[in-house]
Amino acid sequence: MSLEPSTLPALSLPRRCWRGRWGYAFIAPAIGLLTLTSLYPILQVFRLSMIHYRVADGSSQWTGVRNYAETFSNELFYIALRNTFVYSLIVVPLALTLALALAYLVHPLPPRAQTFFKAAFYLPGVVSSVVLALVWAWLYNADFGLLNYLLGVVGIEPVMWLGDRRIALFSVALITVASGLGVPLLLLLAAIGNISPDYYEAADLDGASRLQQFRFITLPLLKPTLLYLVVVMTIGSFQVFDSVYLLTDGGPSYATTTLVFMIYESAFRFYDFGLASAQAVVLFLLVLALAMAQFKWLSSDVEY
Amino acid sequence: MMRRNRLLIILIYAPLSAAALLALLPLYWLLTGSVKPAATLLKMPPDFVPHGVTLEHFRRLFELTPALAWLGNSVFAAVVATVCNVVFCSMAGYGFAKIRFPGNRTLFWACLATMMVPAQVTVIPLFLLVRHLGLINTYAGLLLPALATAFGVFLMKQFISTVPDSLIEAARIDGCSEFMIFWRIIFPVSKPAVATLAILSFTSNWNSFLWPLLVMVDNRRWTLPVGLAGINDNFFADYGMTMAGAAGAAIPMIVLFLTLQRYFLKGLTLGAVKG
Repeated sequence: MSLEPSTLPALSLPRRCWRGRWGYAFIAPAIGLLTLTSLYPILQVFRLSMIHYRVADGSSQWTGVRNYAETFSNELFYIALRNTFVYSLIVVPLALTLALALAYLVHPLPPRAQTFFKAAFYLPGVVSSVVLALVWAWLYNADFGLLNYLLGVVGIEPVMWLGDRRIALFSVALITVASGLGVPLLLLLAAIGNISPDYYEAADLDGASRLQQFRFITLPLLKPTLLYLVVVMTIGSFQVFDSVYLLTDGGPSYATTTLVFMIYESAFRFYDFGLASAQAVVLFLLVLALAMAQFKWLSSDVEY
Repeated sequence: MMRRNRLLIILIYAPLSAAALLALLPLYWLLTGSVKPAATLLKMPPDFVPHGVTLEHFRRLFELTPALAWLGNSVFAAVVATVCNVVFCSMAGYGFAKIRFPGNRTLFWACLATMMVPAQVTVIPLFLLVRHLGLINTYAGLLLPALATAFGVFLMKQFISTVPDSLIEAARIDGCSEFMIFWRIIFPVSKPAVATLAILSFTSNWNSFLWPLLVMVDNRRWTLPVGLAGINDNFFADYGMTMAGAAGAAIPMIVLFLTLQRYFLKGLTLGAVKG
């Protein structure tokens, strides 16, 4: 603060006390709402996970860790876990690599061209995931879909994009990648732009090739941004629900049942809120552990 | 030298343009599909350019479904949520950034911590809470979680921290009340952050699916995304109507994006980098 007690000795103390009350007043609406809609549910989910909640009358019965035992002994849980991991392993590296390549290509372009391409890749992310799911459902249609038509043109047999157990998950992941390039592209572009050209000039003088420059200058300096993106995108990929719900309903044969979808089914199809809460807690702890692990593992030599 | 430059330009623009076309293909398919005559929709090979344009799908959409109500609900919900979010988060942002009070840091960190929890984890207790309060199938229940977001508080606090203290102190010396300082000085000065938050809020609320799906039971109270899912269930093979509905949900966002592009693209770096 620029005007400290040295300039206003007589007025400083009472002023600070009086202003404190205003602080509470200003944060009250937002914090009040967040306490009700965020903090309270977070605490409640732990409590709910340890009871058996009867929907009919809202009564609850303490069951301790039984919901957790049920979760870990359910085969579907491990299927969902595997599906979620596989999904994440497809989406994150693929989207990040594509975004990086695109950012590298867009970076040297004049501003207007940059704006055009940024907009083009960001646009699909602006519409609802429901909208995207519905279009892609048509694109993926085995008989009338554009994709199978294009495959047919090059002589490939039609693919059951959503009906084949082996590729359904990949099909859902592809939608996420295709519409999720905007954010990583923008962040990487900004980060590349922040790298001082001096480094490249010095490397040029030393005779370094483009590839070497990319490997030893660009990539290391992008590490903080890449790390941030890996963590954020992984957390995001663990939350995929809309496309699964609309396109495959978790099938075929649970091939696309992710953890979140399983939680949804437990809660709103089987009405077992206790079990669903336990599953949600497990999801949360998993995401937390993963984020921390990624942070530690990938940031070993990152300087801020 | 010239030839090398020309080659380089082609090497950059060609793959970029191809990639951009691929990225935009689904949206193009959506928009053309919504106006293609029904007979040509399932034609193989498909028409890349529609042969004839028809509004028949939109007409059927509004006739056979409460799509107009859905549109109204989406607009109402998104606008109210955005306005409240912006006002409440700006106020909180100012409080956290510029006013000293006991617990300032702790409360702010607690607020940030809630951002770490995935939305689906809190959706169950939130649903039960709303049900307990008797707010299922009401707009109040729909809007409750959207009126203030931790991210919004974070964004506004970060931005308002950069407002020079001297500006505020001068106003305080002049005898301005805190509220006046907020309304007359902070809020106008924070326009970039406010615009960004408004855009992000509106987008997130307009596109929101899971929560409206859970809260609204009566199909006249659905928002557009939930309505679209309903069409997908009930009019399964009617691609024309499905595309028309989807286009109805998508076009406002596309228009918003194209006109206010700056705020969408700027907003990311505002919140994410250099905390």
